[in-house]
Amino acid sequence: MTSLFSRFSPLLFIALAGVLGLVAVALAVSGLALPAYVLGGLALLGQVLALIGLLRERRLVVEVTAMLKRLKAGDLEARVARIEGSSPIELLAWEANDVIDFADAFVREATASLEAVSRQVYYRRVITTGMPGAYRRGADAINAATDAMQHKIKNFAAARGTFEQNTAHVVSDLATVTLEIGAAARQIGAAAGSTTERTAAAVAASGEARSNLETVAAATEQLNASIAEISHQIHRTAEIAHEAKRETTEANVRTQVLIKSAERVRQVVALIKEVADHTNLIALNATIEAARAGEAGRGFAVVANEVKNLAGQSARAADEITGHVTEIEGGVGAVSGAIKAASDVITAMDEAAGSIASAMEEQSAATKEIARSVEQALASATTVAGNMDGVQRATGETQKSATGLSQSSADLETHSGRLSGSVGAFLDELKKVI
Amino acid sequence: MTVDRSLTGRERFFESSDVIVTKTDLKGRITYANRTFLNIANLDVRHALNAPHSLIRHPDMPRCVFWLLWETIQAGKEIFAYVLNRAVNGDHYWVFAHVTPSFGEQGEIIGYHSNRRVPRREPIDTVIKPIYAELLAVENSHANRKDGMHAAVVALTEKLKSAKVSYDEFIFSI
Ligand SMILES: Cc1cc2nc3c(=O)[nH]c(=O)nc-3n(C[C@H](O)[C@H](O)[C@H](O)COP(=O)(O)O)c2cc1C
Repeated sequence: MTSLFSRFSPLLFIALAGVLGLVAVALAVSGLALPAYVLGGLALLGQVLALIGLLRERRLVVEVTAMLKRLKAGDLEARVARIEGSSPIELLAWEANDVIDFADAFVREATASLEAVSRQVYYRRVITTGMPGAYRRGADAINAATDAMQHKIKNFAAARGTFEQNTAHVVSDLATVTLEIGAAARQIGAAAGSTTERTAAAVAASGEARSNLETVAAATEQLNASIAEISHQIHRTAEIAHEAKRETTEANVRTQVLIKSAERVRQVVALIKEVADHTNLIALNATIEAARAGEAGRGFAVVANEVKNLAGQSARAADEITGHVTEIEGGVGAVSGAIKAASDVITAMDEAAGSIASAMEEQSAATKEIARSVEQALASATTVAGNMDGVQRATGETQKSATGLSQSSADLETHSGRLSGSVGAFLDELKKVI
Repeated sequence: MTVDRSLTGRERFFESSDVIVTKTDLKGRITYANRTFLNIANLDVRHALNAPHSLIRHPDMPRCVFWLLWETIQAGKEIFAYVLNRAVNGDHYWVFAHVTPSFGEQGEIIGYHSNRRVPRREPIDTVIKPIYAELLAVENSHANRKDGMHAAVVALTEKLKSAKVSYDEFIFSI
């Protein structure tokens, strides 16, 4: 039955029934009743068959219409599954199925490919094999878009990778640096604090040192003055000593002359005494002679006597002189000894003065040295004090900036923490994208 | 109905402009087949409709491939596979099959759909045939069908793992 309908169109049955009907009418008119009935019956059968065929075709039309309606509503599952012949209507139904198959295939492909892209899977392309016309062009466009996206995403992913690496480095470096800066700031602060204390102590110490040095300088100056005075006096003493020595030498020379003169006097006196003694002897002789001569000799005796007296007086005078000379000699000796002792004292004094003078000179040089050193020390102390002022100021500023730095590093820490957080969040977002 | 498993060794081909289309219910019974399918499988509509899809199963196909197919589509996902089919007259033909679930208004799976295109020949000869032969051998080395199939699934999984690709990537890479 089915194969019958799939082979013969209802139109054939209608045509056949028509012809049979006409022939049946003709037979009936001719009075041939029996054949007319038979043909009429056959015509009726043909009509029934035609009706059945038409109803089958109508069913297909209804089915195709219903399918197209579902298709219109976007239901791509609709098909006319049971098509058993190849009548024009059945071929129409097959074509309708094919149309939906292509639409269905395109939608499945496009959906799957785009879903894959949304999952960042780029190898899932729209399969274009067997895809005709506009579908093919649409599919090509989708694939080209996926290509472009894949390319961009690849580049972007590479860039993101680099970015991630770099930011990871930067962020960790930043964190390290921040910590280091913080630590450094604290160290600087502490150092500046203790520097301030030490500087204050140093300033105080240098002030004290300066006043001490000033005292020393004043004392040294005084000492210098005393040394100069002593030196001056020693020079004076030396001069006097030299003068005295010269004078004692002169006195000595004079004493020698005196001793020689006294010696001479003694010799002269001895000569006088000899002469007086001799004269006395002669006068004695003359007296004797005069006595012998008597009166004539008396006058002579008187003169001789006179001469004797005179000679006696001369001898006594000579003795007296000798006594004086001895006395003088004794005095001169004492004087000479005194002079010698004085000279010795002076020499000793001179030597002492010389060594004192050289000691003083040394002392003076040393003192001058001290004075110079003290002066230098004082200058240094002044410089130190000045520098300490600077140091103190600088330290104050350092401490201030260390506090600032500490604050900044704390800020930096917060910021780098935030940076790290937002970079992380950013990367997380990026990873969601790619 | 007795199952005819005889093979002719003849290979059938279809036009690359054609797509073999079938739809099935949730159990894999054919609910729609297009003319290309009927032609190549040598079937008529009456025999195709309501028949299980294994109607055209080829004995050289490893069972584990169908297991993977069903696992995938029942999870609501698509799968691609190179499939060797057997026309009911005993001829055979290769397809590049794309099997997908069909979804209802609420997103529920209401059936399955398969589009098969003309496959590229080269990967079939160089990659698919040797792998399928290997998997089939694994399956046949077990007395129990199920054990054999599981062993083959494990073998396939290991192969993919050592190549560091997913099944999908593998299919698209060949
Ligand atoms: C939509 C759809 C299409 C399928 N197409 C085929 C096919 O072309 N060839 C095939 O052998 N199995 C196909 N299957 C898988 C079969 O349902 C079945 O699992 C397979 O033939 C293995 O059969 P068996 O378990 O009886 O060995 C298809 C399944 C679905 C859901």
